[in-house]
Amino acid sequence: MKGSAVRQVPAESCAGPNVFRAVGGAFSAPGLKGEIALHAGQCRDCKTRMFPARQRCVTCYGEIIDLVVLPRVGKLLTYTIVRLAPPGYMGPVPYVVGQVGIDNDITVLTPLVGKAPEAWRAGDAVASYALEIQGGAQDAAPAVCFSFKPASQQDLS
Amino acid sequence: MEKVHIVGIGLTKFGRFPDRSIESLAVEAISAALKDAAISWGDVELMYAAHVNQGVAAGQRVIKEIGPSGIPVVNVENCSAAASTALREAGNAIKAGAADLVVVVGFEKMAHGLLLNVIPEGDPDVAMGLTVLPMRFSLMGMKHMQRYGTTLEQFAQVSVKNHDHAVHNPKAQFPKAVTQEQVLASKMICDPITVLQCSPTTDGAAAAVLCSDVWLKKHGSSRAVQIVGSALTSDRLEQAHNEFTLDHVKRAASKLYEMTGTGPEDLDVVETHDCFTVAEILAYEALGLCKEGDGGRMIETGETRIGGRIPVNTSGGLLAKGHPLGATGLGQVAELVMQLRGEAGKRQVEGARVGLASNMGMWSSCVTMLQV
Repeated sequence: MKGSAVRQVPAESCAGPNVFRAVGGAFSAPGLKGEIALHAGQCRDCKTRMFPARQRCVTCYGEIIDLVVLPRVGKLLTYTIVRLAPPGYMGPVPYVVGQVGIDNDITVLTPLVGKAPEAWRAGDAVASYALEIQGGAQDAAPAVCFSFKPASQQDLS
Repeated sequence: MEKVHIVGIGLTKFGRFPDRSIESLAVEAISAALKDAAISWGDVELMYAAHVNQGVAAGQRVIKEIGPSGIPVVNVENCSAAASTALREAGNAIKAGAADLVVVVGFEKMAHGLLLNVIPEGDPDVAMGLTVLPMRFSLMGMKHMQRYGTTLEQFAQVSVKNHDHAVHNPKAQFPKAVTQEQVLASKMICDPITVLQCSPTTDGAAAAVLCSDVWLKKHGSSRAVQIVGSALTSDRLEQAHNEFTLDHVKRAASKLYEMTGTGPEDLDVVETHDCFTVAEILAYEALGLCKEGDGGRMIETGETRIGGRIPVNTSGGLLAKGHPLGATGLGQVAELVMQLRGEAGKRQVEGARVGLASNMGMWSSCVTMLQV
């Protein structure tokens, strides 16, 4: 895999130890274009939502957390271009990381892919997609994680 | 309430010591602190050892070299806030009546190159690139620029100021001035933070001798500095909602001001945790040295330079003095002690009576106030 392009990820590849955040179902099986929906946790008591889900509620410490599906489209709040990454990072360098706001209560820290690093701007409309990452150690297996890319017309409709 | 005093400090030079063990660095710092306090190792009743990546029971390994006196040793890991946390715990032990004379030491030897990650390598967030250390401060910096119009030049000025201060600190790793142009032209690490806006990796050790009121009255010390109070908090907003802020610093400072009946206007000299330039700008606001959003403008006024209204990081800060994780908090406190005793040489802040150190360790914040 070259650069940071999103690759289509077949649904069946979304199982196994290399699917990040899949524990507890942090995102849905990807669609044909790699589109995924993130799964947030929601406290059954106070209804606070959090991403990713935690063992207990981040607000009231309630013990029962339900998984809820988040809208795929969000707004880029802030971003930065990372030009030097530590051992253990599996993707290309440089890469872009940002905070994406979904509805008015969720902020997701996420890789941003699908356009040149310098082209990103706060306020951009973005949508959630699966991202296959591979790199770092030569023998490291590819893994699937979540990411956001510029929202297409289809994403927005 | 029992008062706690610092009667001795000791510091190694901060830098690179490939041929020295952490034990030898720690012993050098402790020996200097004992000499400064005019006591002997045999007088010490309890020791706290702060370190981050130095292996298990590193404090006991130090004791082996300085004298296996059989006293209790407590090892403290709280990421980069380990040393200030250990100082706070030592003070609490004295207040609780557990000991009258306590040594606190912090030490670290670090790998070369920028410190980019402290999370275990196998963590999915590391593989996704979400744990790169400067990134958190880059995102805070980008947001500050968007919201308040803070500029690249203002961030760079923090590095310029702290390097200027370090020129007068013989213990500093980089006692050399840099220009704004050099800072901005240095390699971009994580926008807007360039390499000269990142603290270096550092080897070094720092120590302090703490005593109770009772001990001080009995033995006396004309150079004692009182620990007025300290506050320790952990992060809420990042852990809960991926929001990067210095809210934990703000809450720690507010708690400390409230506890001590003081405010930012009472401070004469401040050491902040400038792991990256952005962190110092945000700390001005979190500590109440200026209004929220005014951090960028504050560095431009020169108010935080030696000779200014409220000098910050007179030691050179983490950026230029160096950042040996487990020793950093005590390095800050040692600088304040020198300032409050009037022993800071060319870095001296005239008439300094009250100092504050703000030490961060990932999701923790520990602030300490000293006075004479």
